[in-house]
Amino acid sequence: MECREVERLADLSLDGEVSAGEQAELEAHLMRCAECRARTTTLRWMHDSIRAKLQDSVDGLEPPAGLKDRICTELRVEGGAAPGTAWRAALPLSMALAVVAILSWSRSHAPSLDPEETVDRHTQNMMPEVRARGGEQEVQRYIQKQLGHPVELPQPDDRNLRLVGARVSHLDNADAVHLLYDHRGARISVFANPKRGNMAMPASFSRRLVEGRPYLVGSHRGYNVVATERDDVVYRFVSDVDGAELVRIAASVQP
Amino acid sequence: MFGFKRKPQRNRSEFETLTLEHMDALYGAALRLTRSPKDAEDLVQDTFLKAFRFFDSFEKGTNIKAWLFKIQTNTFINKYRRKVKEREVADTPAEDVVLDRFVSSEQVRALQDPEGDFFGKLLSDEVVEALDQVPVDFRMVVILADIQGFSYKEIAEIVGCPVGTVMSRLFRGRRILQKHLYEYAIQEGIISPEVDEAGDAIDLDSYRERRKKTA
Repeated sequence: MECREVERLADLSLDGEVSAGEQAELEAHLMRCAECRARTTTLRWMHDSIRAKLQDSVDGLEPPAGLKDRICTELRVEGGAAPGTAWRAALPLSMALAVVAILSWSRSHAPSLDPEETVDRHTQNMMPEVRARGGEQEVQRYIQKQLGHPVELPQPDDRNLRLVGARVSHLDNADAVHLLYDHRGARISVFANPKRGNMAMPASFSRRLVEGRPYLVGSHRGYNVVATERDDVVYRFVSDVDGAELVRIAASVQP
Repeated sequence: MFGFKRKPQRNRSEFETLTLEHMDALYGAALRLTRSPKDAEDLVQDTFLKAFRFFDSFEKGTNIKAWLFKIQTNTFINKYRRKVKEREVADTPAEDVVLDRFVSSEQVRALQDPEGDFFGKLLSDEVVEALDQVPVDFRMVVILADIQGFSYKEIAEIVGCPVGTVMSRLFRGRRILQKHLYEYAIQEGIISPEVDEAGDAIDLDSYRERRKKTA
C-alpha cells in the first residue's frame, strides 16, 4: 500500500467499512510509516470530536411543541377518510390519462395552482420512468406498481398526441402522475393529481369556457399552462405550444 | 368505467407505535438539512403523512427508521432542495477548493500541539454552524452517517445512489466540514497556520484494483 492510498481507506476504516484484508494492510502500513500514522491519528481525532459534537447537538433536541399533535390529527383525518373521499379512478376521459394516486390526501392545505411548481416540473425535463413503447400496458403496470392501484388508460382520440411515457411526480403537496406526450415534435407534460377543494387561480391567469367547461389558462416563464378538473382530478397541461392550441388539446380529452 | 381495488384498512395505531418514536431523529436531521425550523417542521409532517399513505408497502420486520429516512430524504429532494440550494448559493461561499489531502501536514502540526486541542474544545453550536455551510448534497450524507449512524449501504438505499457515491460524498463532506472548522480556528487565533506542501492525489480505486490483481 502506498501513502496516497491510505487516506481514503482510513476514512472507510473509521466507519468500519473496510474488509478484514484491507484493514490488516492499512495497519501494517501505519506500523511502518510515521507520517501516515500521524495523519490518521489526527484524522481519527478530528472525526471523533466532530461526530461527538454533532451528536450532542441533536441529543435531547425535541421538535417544537405541537408538531406531534398536528401529525396525529392529520393521521386521524387520513385514516378516517370515508370511501367517497378517496380518489375516484373512474375517469370518462377519451385520452390516455392515468389516474393518479389515490393515496387519499391531506385536506389541511389549501389547494393552489402554482404555475411555478408546475412549470418547474415540466422544465426539469425528467426522463419518463416508464416508456410507452409497445402501447400503454407498460405505463399501466408502472402506475399500478407505484401507486398500488390498477388503472385503465383510455385511448387518445387526437392522433397527433402520442404518449411517450410516465413518471410519478409531486405537485401541490400530493403525488401526481406526470404523463409525457409528444405533439408533432413538441413536448407536452400532463399532470394529474387529486382535487382538494377549489383551486386558487393565479392573478395572471384567465378563465375560459370551452363547450361549457371551464379552463384556467395562463403562461409562466414562457410556458403555456392550462388547468382543468374532471371528477375530483386536476389536470394541468404545460408546454411551449401555442396557448390556444394547448386549450384545444386539453379540451380534446373531454368525455 | 374502470376502478381500483380499495386498499386494506391501514392500522393507524400500529403505524403510530412503530413510527412516532423516530420523530425526534427525523426532526433533528430535517433541521440540519433545511437549516430552517419552519421548513424542518413541514418536512417532518409531510414525511409522516407520506409514510402513513405508503404504510401498506412497508415490509414488517425491516428497518423502519431507514424506511422513514428514505421517505423524508425523497420528500426533501422533491420539495425543498431547490429552495435550500437557492438559499445556499446566496449566502455561502463557493466550495471551489480542491481538497486533495485529507489531513494536511499543516493541520497535523497545528493540531498535535498540546495547546491545540481545538476540535476537542469546540462547542456543538460551532460545529453545527460549520455543518450548515457544507453544500446540501454532501451535508445530507454527513448527517446520515455521523448524526444518525447509518451504514454506507443504508445511506445508499436512503439517498438512492450507489455505495461508491456515498463514500465519495461522505469523504468530501467531512473534509469540507473539517476545513471550515480549521479555518475558524485560525480566524479565532486558536491555532496558527503554517505553510503546507502540495499533496499527492488520493487514489482509492487504483489501490483496490491493484489489490484485487495481486490477491
